[in-house]
Amino acid sequence: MAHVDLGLGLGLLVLITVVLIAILVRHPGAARGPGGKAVAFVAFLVLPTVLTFLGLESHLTRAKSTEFCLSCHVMEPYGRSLAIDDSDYLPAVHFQNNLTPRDHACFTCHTTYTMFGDVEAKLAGLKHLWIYYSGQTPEHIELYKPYNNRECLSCHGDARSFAEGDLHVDILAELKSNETSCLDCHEWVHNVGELDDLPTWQAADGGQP
Amino acid sequence: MKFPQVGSLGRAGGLICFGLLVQAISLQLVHPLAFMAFAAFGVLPVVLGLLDYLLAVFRSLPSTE
Repeated sequence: MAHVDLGLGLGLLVLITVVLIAILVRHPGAARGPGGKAVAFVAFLVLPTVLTFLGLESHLTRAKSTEFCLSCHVMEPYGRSLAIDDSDYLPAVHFQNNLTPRDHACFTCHTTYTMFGDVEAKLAGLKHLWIYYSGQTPEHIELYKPYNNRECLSCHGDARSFAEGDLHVDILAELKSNETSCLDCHEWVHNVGELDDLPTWQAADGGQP
Repeated sequence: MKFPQVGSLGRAGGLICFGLLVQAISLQLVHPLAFMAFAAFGVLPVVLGLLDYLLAVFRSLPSTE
């Protein structure tokens, strides 16, 4: 809803800007007085600058959405893997139990929780765009580097169920130093080659990833 | 030189309006290419239009000579 409101607000601002510009172009004399110059300054400089930054922000926010990630054809099976009805499936159990926000499911786990993590994720996204449209998409999509436990621990690290869990308590230091990967034990991640044989879960509202 | 000169606002306005319309349309699309369209055909014309407008303003300033 907020996104729709922002879209309407931006649309209205664009309309106002275009109308102001059209009036000033049609009647250049109107921009000669002090008031006219101020209006021209707002219409030609302030509003377009503000609108461009708001649009950029809107695009960057949208690029974090699950819908955006799954709009790429090659990501379709990864979207389906979120609906697998098996609690051993790591992405599925996170998505279905709201352990990640459903509308930001991909981004939540596939950004890096560092100072420039979001920027790096966006740059990687641009690289993916190039790879996809230049026809270089590999048959098996893999991470660039091993998944860092930091991303898991950014949420689970402080959780009592994790820190005091029987299986974690003895290896906490190893997990924090990446000596042992979370995925060594939680090994069912996406596994898109096996989806056709697995049951899927249907949300009560009918919504699917 | 009086501001605005004939034609200077028309070119700047045209570029800005075109860029803003492309931006508005790209925001309605959920597609990876929408961002590229926003950047290439939305932001670029707006920036060029802004520069054109600023040039028109600076040219209209009184000379110090």
